[in-house]
Amino acid sequence: MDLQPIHHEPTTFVKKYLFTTDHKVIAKQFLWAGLLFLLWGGLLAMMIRWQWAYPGEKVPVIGDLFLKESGGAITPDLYPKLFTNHGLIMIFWAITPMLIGAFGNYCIPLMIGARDMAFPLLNMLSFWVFVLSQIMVGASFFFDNGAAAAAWISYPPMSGNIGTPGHGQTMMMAAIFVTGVATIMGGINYVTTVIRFRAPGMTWMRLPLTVWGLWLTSVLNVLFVPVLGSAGLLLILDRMFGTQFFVAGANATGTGGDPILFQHLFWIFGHPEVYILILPAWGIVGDVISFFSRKPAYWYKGTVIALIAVTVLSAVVYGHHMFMTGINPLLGQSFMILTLVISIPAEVLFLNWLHTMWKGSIRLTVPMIFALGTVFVFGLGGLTGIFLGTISTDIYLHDTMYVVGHFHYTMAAATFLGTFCAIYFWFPKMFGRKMNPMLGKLHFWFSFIFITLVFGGQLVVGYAGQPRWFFDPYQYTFLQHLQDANIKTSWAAFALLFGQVFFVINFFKSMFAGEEAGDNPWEVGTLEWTIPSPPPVHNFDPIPTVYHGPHEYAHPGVLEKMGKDWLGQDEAFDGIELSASTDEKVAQGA
Amino acid sequence: MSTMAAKMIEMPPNVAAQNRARREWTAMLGMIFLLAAWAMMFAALFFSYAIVRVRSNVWPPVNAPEFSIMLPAINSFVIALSSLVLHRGVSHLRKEKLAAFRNAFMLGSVFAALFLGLQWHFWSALMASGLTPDSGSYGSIIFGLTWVHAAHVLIGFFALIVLSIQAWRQVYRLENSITVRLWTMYWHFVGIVWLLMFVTIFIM
Repeated sequence: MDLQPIHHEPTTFVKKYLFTTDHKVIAKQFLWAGLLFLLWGGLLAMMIRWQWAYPGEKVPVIGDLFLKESGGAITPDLYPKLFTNHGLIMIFWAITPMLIGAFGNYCIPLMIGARDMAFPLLNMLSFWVFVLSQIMVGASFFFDNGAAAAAWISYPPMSGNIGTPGHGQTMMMAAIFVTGVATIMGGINYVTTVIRFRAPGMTWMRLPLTVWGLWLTSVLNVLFVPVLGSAGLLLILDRMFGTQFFVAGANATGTGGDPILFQHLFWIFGHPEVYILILPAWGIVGDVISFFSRKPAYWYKGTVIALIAVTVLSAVVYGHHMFMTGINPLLGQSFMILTLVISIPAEVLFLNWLHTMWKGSIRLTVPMIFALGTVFVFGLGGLTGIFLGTISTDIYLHDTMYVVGHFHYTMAAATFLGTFCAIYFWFPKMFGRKMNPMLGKLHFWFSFIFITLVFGGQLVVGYAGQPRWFFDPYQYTFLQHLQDANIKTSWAAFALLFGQVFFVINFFKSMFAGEEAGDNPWEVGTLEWTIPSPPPVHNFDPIPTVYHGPHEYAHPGVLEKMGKDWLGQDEAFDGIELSASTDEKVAQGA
Repeated sequence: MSTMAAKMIEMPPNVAAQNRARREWTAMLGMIFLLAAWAMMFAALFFSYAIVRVRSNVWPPVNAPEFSIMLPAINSFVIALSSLVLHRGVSHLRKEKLAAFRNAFMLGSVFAALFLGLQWHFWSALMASGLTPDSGSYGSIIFGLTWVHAAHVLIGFFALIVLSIQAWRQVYRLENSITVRLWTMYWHFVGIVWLLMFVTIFIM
């Protein structure tokens, strides 16, 4: 039997679109599931912004529909549920399924030249377990006392039975555990697939950066999501079975549980999670910038090393979230230094992207401008992070809106723009049609300008001293003068939501009536563009042989002999000196 | 194929068998990552235990009821023995001694049931002596960690039952032995976690 057999296309609807083992269909399932929850999380965000601009006033539309009891206003009881579920939904049920679930599934087998994932059945299971967790999130809203309300970090004692009574919080913790299981299943699949299913000639140093980003993310997922699983499990035991892992009160009797313990467990997972979310976006951006600068990615090997360095460092910096917990100052300093060290590989990445563009023939396509937007907002997020990683400034900025602005730039703005970069780039391959560039550019400028303003506004009011999570900040005299700034920020958020209309129109219109894309509309060389759009069930008729790295552009020899400025990874081209992006040893071997 | 893989799976000469060996290595790699994930989960539990313990002045707490560690000690033997039996079973399967393989897995299932039964008895005895999950962090650690572990033993127990039934029906030969081997790996993992728990919680 062949190692990667060709399966026939399933004929029944259920096997083709629901319980499918085809990684490309599972990718689309994750995309739909993620987009749906992105909308939900986004609407929750709009309600939070409304509250900070006009506390106590009737929320337009949503207030009429869902908040009849309070006359349309957001109540103090509802408010923590909004930001708790906004954060958790966006992280676990919107960004994760889209960047990792959808594009991990779609890109990994296609870009490494495989017919499917290593474990297709596990892949299907991963999606349906994920759906179960989404149903659990939905269900958590219908318990007495309502949905989870202990913020996305779910610290005890807030997340204990006294802080948040009722089953909504328990259900949310269980949902996080279940989605964690789905993520781990996906992670095991991605990690194994890249190790085992690379096409002949696809060495590690010829992998597209997208695959590198997704692979490293998967390694982090496999190793650190289980730690969150443990934290959630212990919290559920505390809530349901009376254990006292996180109950501080027990301390008085000599053998105390410790709420700080939860913070340790949470951030051992939580800091890698930040990189879990951004690494795929970095990988995609690295590829897209090279593709549309029509130049080899500058110092490919350095980018890979930097990505690996960030991955490793991300596992040893979690303490910088806990400077204010009475952590040992020596330990705090070590965490501070390790945290600041991350800026070195991050700088390597940024400089490599800039160098890639330097003197390139830049094509400002929609994916390209989204990639540049991602770089810009992540730059802002990274720079503002330095002040939080440094203990002396963190003491002042801790738990202010500054923190919110910072991590939204990194985890929200950068992943949001990165996700759309991926959607615009692979849409022609996924659906066989091009998206409208004009609507795409409108979507970009609305998204980019207003997302920058929203989180910039948060940085500013945070620096001025506004704490995060306040129901009505203007009850306090020292914050009243910030209402104007908050109102402006809120209107930027509403404009951001409005800008998404361009995407929705474009997405659905292009899916059914867009221009036929052809095999390779972007003229790039990675393997997924060598096959029809959309690809057949088995992806590749013969498994391709790979001769080059992913970024062979603007080589004079290729231009002269083949009349095009790019070279496919599977196109043999003898007699030319391969560009700097290719590993020398490999070049000699090939 | 890496040298490590070559050591774990002997490379047979013909192509079909080579492809089988490659597929088996892929499956085994998946299992290794799964166990790595589960190891991190248990590592987080041990980390929690360590934090709680170093932060308390006396351990066990002064008012904690005394209990015998006889049952956990016996259980350590039971689970070690079961791992040994399953290991023997797998080597029987490799030689295609199907009856011996079947017997080993049935015995293994009995040991798994015995382990769970003794755990249940141990928990009841603890509760009777006054140590409950809600009696401070001491009770939380002992019950919480052994509960989570027992849940994994339970999964393994069901798997062993299914494997035993399939062995009875002679489903497995050398060619499709990978399923059996992967579950045996899982079982060894659960056993190692138990031994770590026994040493750190009950002896130290």
